Amino acid sequence: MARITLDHIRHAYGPTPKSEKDYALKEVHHEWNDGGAYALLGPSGCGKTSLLNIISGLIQPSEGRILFDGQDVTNLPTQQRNIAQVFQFPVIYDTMTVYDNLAFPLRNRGVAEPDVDRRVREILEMIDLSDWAKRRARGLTADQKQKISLGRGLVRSDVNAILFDEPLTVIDPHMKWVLRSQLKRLHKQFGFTMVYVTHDQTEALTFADKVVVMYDGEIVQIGTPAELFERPSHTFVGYFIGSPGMNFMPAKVEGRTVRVGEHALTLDYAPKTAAAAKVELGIRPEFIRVGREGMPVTVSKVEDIGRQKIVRAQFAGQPIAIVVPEDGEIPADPRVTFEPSGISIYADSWRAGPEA
Amino acid sequence: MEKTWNNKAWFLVLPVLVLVAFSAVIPLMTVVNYSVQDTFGNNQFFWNGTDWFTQILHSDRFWAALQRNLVFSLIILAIEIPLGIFIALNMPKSGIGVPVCLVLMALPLLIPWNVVGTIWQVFGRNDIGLFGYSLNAIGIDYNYVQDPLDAWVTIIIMDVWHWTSLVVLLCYAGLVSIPDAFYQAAKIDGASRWAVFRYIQLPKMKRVLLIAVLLHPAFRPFLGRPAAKSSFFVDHSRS
Repeated sequence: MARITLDHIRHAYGPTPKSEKDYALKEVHHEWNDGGAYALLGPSGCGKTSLLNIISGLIQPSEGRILFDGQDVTNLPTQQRNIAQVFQFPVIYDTMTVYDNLAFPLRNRGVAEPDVDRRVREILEMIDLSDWAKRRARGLTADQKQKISLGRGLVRSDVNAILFDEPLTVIDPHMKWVLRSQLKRLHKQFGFTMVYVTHDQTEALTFADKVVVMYDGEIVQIGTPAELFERPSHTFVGYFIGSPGMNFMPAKVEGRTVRVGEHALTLDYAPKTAAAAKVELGIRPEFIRVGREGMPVTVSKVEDIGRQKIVRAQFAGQPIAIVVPEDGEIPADPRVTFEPSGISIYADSWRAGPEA
Repeated sequence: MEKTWNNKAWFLVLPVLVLVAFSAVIPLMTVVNYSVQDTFGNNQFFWNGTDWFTQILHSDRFWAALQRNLVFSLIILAIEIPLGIFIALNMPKSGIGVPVCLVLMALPLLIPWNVVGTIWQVFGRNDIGLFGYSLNAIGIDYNYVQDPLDAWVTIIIMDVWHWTSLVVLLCYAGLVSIPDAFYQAAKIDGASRWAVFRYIQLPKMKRVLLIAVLLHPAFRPFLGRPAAKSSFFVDHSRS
């Protein structure tokens, strides 16, 4: 188990990156705590897998250094980094038995056979494949195979970190939940440093202590699920986390006053937006109240999703979404108010802090 | 639910059935027919029973040839398969090298069997053949017509030259079908180069290797070996 330091990592797949655009990974500079459970969340192609492969050493970064517990491992090959990694699609050695598959990483490292046996049996128990131990790994179902891959990732007890690259994509929903809880439990029990790549926000939010949101080769925010929800530091986080995502509307800021269309709202701080070309007001659907007072909206559609209703409406010429409790009433002449604490101002897509 | 049976689908097999009948079944049956008859020419045949078979089974020459054939098959497979795997493992996986290597590898396969025999018959001659002449010029006494060992060496080299390519191409096809994730996982699992070969690459090549063995003419010695090669085999290695 180790603290992972990413020191000014940049990566381009082409040999000679010319502009910022050529980098699949733009400047990542962060430190991940020993024993932390991190989720790398972002859409396909945002650089999550590249970052993961850089940590495990499958990819050599174009620039920057990686340190485990302060020790530079940038030039160490994967085998010597002592990292476990589980891939998106199951990798099994199908001429071996299930048991031998799980024992493979241990035997390759010369672990004594009694220890191998003990670890493998524990893992077999955990992934619920004890009855299959002596079977050839060929001809298993996709989720059995993926459980073996997961097991191979978990079988070594001395790893620096365990990396998961969307490991549950091929698993059916119920099993997904079971395996995720098991991973979470293992994390609590043994304190592995775990990094989990996913594009599924539920998965990220339930698995991780800290969610690392990536967008277009950059880390846009690292935070707890609550922080990501309440104070997204980039418009992408607001849009990507939460369902429906955050509402954004063009705004003008004058001191503490924000103007959206002909409406004016007062904030309790003056956001710093002076140099920005584009200023937006962001508010989550959960922080908008519908009632008989406030600013007028035109409701275009109400979606009842069970425990709550999602109201689609037009506000100052912008489409917005509002979350209303199931028994919430929508009056004939609906008006909305914004909860001041839920309002964020974005200058060129980044959340604007108070004027210094 | 009751399954609907529709036997019309059988008609779809008809074309291939006709094709196979004309290209394989009918010719084969003609041969079977000839095997129980004899002729003194003039296209007149008479019933001969199992005489031909008895004669062959009691022929020392036949058994000796069969034995030589088996030994020959074992030797060339023992050379071609490891050599083919070795070359396939070392072929480039991307870039301009791939098509270049593939074309070079495919060239020997494009030459018909009987032509291969003729080429080497000339190539190996010590008066006008480049191979035979060169060997003798550098002081190696080589003569495939006189010396059985030289004959063996020649036909083994000839077959290795002709057929290793097939093993290479089939193995290469097996190798490139292995997803990168397998090699990555092997690195993570700390697998040695040998373990990667043993548990990832070899299992992928096993099936294509079986095809290579079955396709090999050495494994169908009586299904029509090329005339030049087999006569060369029987006539010259007997001395």
